[in-house]
Amino acid sequence: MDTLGHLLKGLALAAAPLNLGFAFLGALLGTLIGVLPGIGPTAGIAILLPLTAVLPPATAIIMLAGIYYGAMYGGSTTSILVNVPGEAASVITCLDGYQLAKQGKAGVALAIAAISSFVAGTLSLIGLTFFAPPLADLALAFGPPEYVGLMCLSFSVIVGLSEQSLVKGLVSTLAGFLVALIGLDPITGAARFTFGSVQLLGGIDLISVVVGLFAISELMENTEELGAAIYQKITRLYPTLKELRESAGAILRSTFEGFFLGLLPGCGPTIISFLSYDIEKKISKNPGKFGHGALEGVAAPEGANNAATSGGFVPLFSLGIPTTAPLAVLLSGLMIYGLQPGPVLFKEHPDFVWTVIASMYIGNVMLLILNLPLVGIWAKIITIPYYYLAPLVFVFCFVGTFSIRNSMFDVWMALLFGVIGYFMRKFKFPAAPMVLALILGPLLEKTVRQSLQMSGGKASIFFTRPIAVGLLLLAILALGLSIYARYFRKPARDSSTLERKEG
Amino acid sequence: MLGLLFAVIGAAVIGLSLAIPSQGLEKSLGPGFFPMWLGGGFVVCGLFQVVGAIFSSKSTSKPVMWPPKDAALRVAGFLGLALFYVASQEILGFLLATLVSLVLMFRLLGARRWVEMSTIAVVSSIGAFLVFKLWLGMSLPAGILGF
Repeated sequence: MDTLGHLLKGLALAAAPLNLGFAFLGALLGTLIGVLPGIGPTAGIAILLPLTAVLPPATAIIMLAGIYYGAMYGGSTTSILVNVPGEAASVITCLDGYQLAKQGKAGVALAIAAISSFVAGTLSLIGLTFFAPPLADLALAFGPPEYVGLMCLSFSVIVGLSEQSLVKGLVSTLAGFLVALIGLDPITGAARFTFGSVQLLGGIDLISVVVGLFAISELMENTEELGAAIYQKITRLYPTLKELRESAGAILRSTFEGFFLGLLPGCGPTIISFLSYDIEKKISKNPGKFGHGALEGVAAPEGANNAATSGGFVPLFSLGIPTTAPLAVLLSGLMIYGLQPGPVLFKEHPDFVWTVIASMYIGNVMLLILNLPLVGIWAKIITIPYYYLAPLVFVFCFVGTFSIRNSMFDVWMALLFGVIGYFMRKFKFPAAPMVLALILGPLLEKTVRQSLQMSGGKASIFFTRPIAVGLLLLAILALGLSIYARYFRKPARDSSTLERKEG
Repeated sequence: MLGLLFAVIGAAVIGLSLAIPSQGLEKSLGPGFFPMWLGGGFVVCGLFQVVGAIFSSKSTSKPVMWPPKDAALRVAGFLGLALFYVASQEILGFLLATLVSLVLMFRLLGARRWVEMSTIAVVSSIGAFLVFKLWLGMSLPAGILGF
């Protein structure tokens, strides 16, 4: 069956009432998570991931993917109305979005953000549809040494996920590896780092770590500040033809930038939204208007972060490489269902993968409807007091973690990782590399040892097979480029610029 | 300081991995091979941090942003109630533990209207019980109430 045939079959499956219902629920919850400052898409997916265990795999991933791209839509609402980004990828939208709101154009800014998100999201889904399968086909010829190369390529995203310090990102990665080693060795069955504990023989459950590091630690940190939001009123909602024309170029350019940069390890939606804003400012005939209410300043980052979100699914589905933290958590969701993302996913579970991709087209339309006419409702939700929200979210964390194995030990572990995650935030250790290592670490260890078994213990096996060498070189190149972009290229604008501007 | 801690953890991991029996396999293929390299990585990263801390001036290194005393107490209180919530599950059961903990957490985080917070706590805990236990069939802790 060709790509279009698969997509049509996927659309038929995605249109089943159960899948449609959960796509809507995912889009709705994603928008809510995006709107509420303090709960990002990573924490949102982490909280709801265990609760989806009762659903069929495709339905669960449809909902979780909906949360991710829904949060990208919803994140712009608080950026524009409150000057507080709902999630990191909408930080740059604050610059012009809030200025437009102060000028009485909040409705127009919200509409441009939603239209840009919809166009970019849909166009980049077309890219996902046609790019992912050939990439997966190419990767089907992989043996253990090639998988080692692929894992190394996956780990090159650590630079992008390492926020402020690469060494801290590496420490976090090593810690993830260490947690993954706890339990029985998958090849020999020897107990490692269990210290005689029977409960540790089964290892530490991935969900406990994810919920602790992302959700509980976020609740703890947000508990420090309980300020109330003040938001601008929404007036005229639909843009004029002139305003649409003004933004059209920025929407299309940001789609292209977002999708292709989103394919690269280390390039998450946040970095890409900053980059896209910078490009628009540089090519603008009137760069002075940026920061003072330029519609392109809203269209570009919102288009770019949505295109990058869809773009990120290409390496996730075809190679098993998560390029962002929410995708790393989503990857853990796939693992829970026994689905190994990567080359074999398209071959062994075509119905699953095409149903999820097709549902994203439907989800994008749902999001446009949810975000445009209903924007007034989302604006009101911002006013829900945090003192009610946080405890209720914590109950979700408890139920979700407990329900995976009906184990109180897992809940205690989630609390422990919550505390660890809180201190990691304080000392600026990123949590995403730890989760990435926790997911990919066991696979890396297994493939390295299998490769060495194949070669009789000689490491030369990694440097004599062309695809393995190619992937290792690609990993080195990706790592080098990420390090260059991070340390040697002057950033266009960063959040500190934003803070100075607000101050 | 943290760098030193990581270096010590790394050394401990190396020590523990050397003690893992190789199960008759060559050392490079045995269960202790990977943890040993991992420990080495910890030592290197830890030493990097120590060296970095020595050579970076105080003006360039960013201090940890600890919360003010009242906020820190709130975080500690939230964590304490979270521990109470988990610890009380097997005694009180999910329904009662959720109800009590929600009221206490609402109050700690700043809710002031008792009627409002009690209503939200009752509705939420009964709602969660009905959805998770009765509808989705999850096996939640029963406690003294027996359900």
